[in-house]
Amino acid sequence: MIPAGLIGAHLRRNRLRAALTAGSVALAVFLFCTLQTVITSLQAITSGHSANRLIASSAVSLFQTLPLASVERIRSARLPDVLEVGHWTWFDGIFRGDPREFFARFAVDVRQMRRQYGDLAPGGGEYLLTRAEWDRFEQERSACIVGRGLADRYGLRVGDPLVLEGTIYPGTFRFTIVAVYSSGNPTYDEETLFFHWDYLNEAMGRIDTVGTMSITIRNPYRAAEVCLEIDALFQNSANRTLTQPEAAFNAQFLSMWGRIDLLFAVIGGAVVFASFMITLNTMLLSVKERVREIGVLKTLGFPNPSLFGLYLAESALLCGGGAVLGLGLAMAAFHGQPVRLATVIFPEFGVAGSTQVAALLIGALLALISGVGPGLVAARVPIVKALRLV
Amino acid sequence: MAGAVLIAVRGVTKVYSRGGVDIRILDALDLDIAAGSYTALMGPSGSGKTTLLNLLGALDRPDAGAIVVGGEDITTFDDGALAAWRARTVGFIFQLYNLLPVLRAIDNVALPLQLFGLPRRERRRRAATALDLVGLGDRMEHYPSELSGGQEQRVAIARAIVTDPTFLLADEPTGDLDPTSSTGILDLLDQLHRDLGKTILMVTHSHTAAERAEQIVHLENGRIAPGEAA
Ligand SMILES: Nc1ncnc2c1ncn2[C@@H]1O[C@H](COP(=O)(O)OP(=O)(O)OP(=O)(O)O)[C@@H](O)[C@H]1O
Ligand SMILES: [Mg+2]
Repeated sequence: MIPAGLIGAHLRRNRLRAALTAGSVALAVFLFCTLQTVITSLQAITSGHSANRLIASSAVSLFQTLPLASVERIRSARLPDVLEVGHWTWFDGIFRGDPREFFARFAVDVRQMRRQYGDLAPGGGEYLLTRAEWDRFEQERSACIVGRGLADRYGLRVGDPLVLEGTIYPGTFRFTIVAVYSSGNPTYDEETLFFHWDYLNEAMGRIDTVGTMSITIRNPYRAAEVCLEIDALFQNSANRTLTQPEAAFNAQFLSMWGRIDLLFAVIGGAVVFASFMITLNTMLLSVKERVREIGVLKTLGFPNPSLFGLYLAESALLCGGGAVLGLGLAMAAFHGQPVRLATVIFPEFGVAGSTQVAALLIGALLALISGVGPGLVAARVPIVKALRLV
Repeated sequence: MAGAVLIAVRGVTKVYSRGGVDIRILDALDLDIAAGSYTALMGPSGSGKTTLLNLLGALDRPDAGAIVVGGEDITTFDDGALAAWRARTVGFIFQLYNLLPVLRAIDNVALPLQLFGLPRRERRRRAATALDLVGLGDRMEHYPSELSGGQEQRVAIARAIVTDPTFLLADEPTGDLDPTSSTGILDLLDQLHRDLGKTILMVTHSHTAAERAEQIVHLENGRIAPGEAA
């Protein structure tokens, strides 16, 4: 039986210390949740990909372009598993004269895009536009479409002109927004601008290069073999390819962040460990300060286990309260809205269920390890020793 | 006035080792305390008075000997049984009061009643009665730091008697108080003894205080000085 009212009395009389201790746990748990949310969101981005698509890029580097002829080469090979071949070209560029106004811009073969990602794709596709909108996009050479998030952010509307200054591809590129797309799948963001590759290619004097090729295949279980078959087509050419499933390709793209998941896990762990040391220190200090109280309680007849329980409960209140607070803050801050972090856009940035559970477990674990030690000290100290010390 | 033997101390020995040397603070000590008696325990500083009191109140264990209270040898109890026994049987009064600074006077007094499974209202009611008895009915909501030494000791006495224990152990209860406060505390102990029939064992260095008791015993060389035990 724990002496009732004593924990509350101590917390009231030491409000600042209690607040600081619980605050350190709250902060640690909040940071943990934040880092963990980045990790789970990264995973979500790479997990929702179509298993039916492969991406072929230059074997040299992601930034090396491929000749347009590569597309034709795959088509003409008539591989039995290959259904569609499209291409995407990364157009860097500057919007509104400010390099910081960054979003993804791709030049695509619109007709192919429609068949692979749009209304003509089997099962509906990821980028959602009406048939009329797709028709218009496909027919107007200087047309572009933008994601809903992007449109909201910059106040873009259908019919508006949009100008990009080229960087990789020099020149001024003028577009007309013909539609605002939304995404049917959180893996595909609503923060990208698409325009006609033909328009870019003509402006560049028909250099006939593309960034990556997107290949739709018949049977996802044959993906690994098809990757090898495609790469084999370019085995002896000057433009060898690296073909991989779309999910793997995206993971590689994101890995430009380095082993961010590992890094974040380490940082999160370190932060939690630091808060553990703070709590343990506070609890040990309070045992030392209150050793006379421990002696008095034992003198009055409170048994050793109740002293143990007293300190465990106090630590549980501080750590548990802190953890719940930190988790609550994280959930209030990240509730599934899109978040842009450097070059990556998280379509749904929210604290995952697994992260919530982990945060509460951390709170419980902190409570346990910072409560058991002091609790044992309190339970074990001989009464006469406790009463002598001041 | 003294009734049957309440506490029988038989051959109690307590040894402390200091720097590798064993010192017998209590050496096969015998002492009887009668039910309803009021005894003053005197002796030179370091003679083992506090040590003896701690053994009688089961705050510590002897190295040898028996302490029989109401027919039970408490030296055979385990820690849990001793804690429960202390709660029922002993009321402690210390020189430095030992109130919990984070609790108000009434909550300090009500604290030991938690061990009796009483509801909060009842605990507070009894604590208020005890505080009234010691003359602090108007200081119930004060924290110890807001009370004088004499008042703190009164709160401590209220806490000691609120559970209606079999006997009270007081270790220099007036040792830290001015003469006026001391007199007040001694009057209060007299009253507890006389009106409530409490058995009291009080350690003191003061002859004035000791004279309030029915009998005075002296602790010398680890034993009760001959001829003076009750
Ligand atoms: N835990 C301990 N370890 C070693 N020696 C101890 C311990 N506790 C008490 N002593 C020694 O035992 C002796 C008796 O101590 P005790 O406190 O019982 O004396 P006392 O008669 O109450 O003295 P005072 O009148 O000064 O309060 C002292 O010499 C003290 O130093
Ligand atoms: Mg003493």
